[in-house]
Amino acid sequence: MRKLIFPVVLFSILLIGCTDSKKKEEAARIEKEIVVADSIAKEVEKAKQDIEQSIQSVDSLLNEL
Amino acid sequence: MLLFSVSVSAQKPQGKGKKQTADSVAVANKEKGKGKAEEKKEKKRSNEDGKKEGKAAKDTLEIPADTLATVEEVTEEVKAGEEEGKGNAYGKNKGDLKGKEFGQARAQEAKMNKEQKKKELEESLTEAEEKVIKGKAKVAEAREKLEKEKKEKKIKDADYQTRKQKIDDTEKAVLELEEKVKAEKQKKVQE
Repeated sequence: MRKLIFPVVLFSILLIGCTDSKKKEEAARIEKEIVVADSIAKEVEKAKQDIEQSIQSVDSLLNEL
Repeated sequence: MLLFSVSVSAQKPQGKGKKQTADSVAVANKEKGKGKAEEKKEKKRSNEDGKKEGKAAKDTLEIPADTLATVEEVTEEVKAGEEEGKGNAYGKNKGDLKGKEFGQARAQEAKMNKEQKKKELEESLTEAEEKVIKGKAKVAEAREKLEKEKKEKKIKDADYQTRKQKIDDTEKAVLELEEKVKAEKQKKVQE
C-alpha cells in the first residue's frame, strides 16, 4: 500500500502541472492573438485616417480651382 | 527534618492552590458547557419559533409547498457548504471558466474589430481612387483652360502664375493620394 502512495502522488502532481501549463499556454496564445489583432486594427485605423485626411485636402484644393 | 517539614508545608498550599485553580477551571468549563448547551437550546427554540412563524406566514401568504421545499433545500445545502468550507470552491471554478470564456470572447471581439477596420479602410481606398480619377481630370481641365486663357491673353502674367501654382499643388496632392492608395493596396497583397 505504501509503495503505491508515492507513485500515485507523483503522477497526480505531474498531471496537475501538465494541465496547468496547458492552460497557461492556451491563455498566452489567446493573449498574443488579441495583441496582434489589436495592433493590426490600430495600424489599419491609422492608415484609414491618413487616407481620409488626404482625400479632404485634395477635395478642398479641387474646390479652389 | 525541620527543613523537610518546612518544605512540605510550603508545598501543600501550592498544591491546594493548583487544585483550587483546576476546580475553578472545571467549574468554568462546566458553566461554559452549560452556556453552550443553553445557547444551542435557545437556537433550537428560535428555529422552532421561526419554523412556526414560517408556517404561519405560509398560511397567510399562501406560498406553494414545492417552492418552500426547494428554498429550504437550497438553504440547507448552502449551510452545509459553509460548514464544510466548500463555499469558495464554486466561485473558483466559476471564476476560472469565466476567465477562459472572457479571453475567448475578447479575442473574437479583437478579430471582429480588425475585420471591421479593414472593411472601413477598403471603403476609404475606393473613395480615394475615385477622388484621384476625378482630381486628375479636374486638374487637366483647369490646366487646359489656363493655358487657353494665357494664349488668348485674357489673364495677366501674375494671375497666370498664381493659378498655375494652385493647379500644381492640387496635382501634387492628387498624386500623393494615388501613391498612398497604391501603397495600401500593395500592403494588402503582401498580407
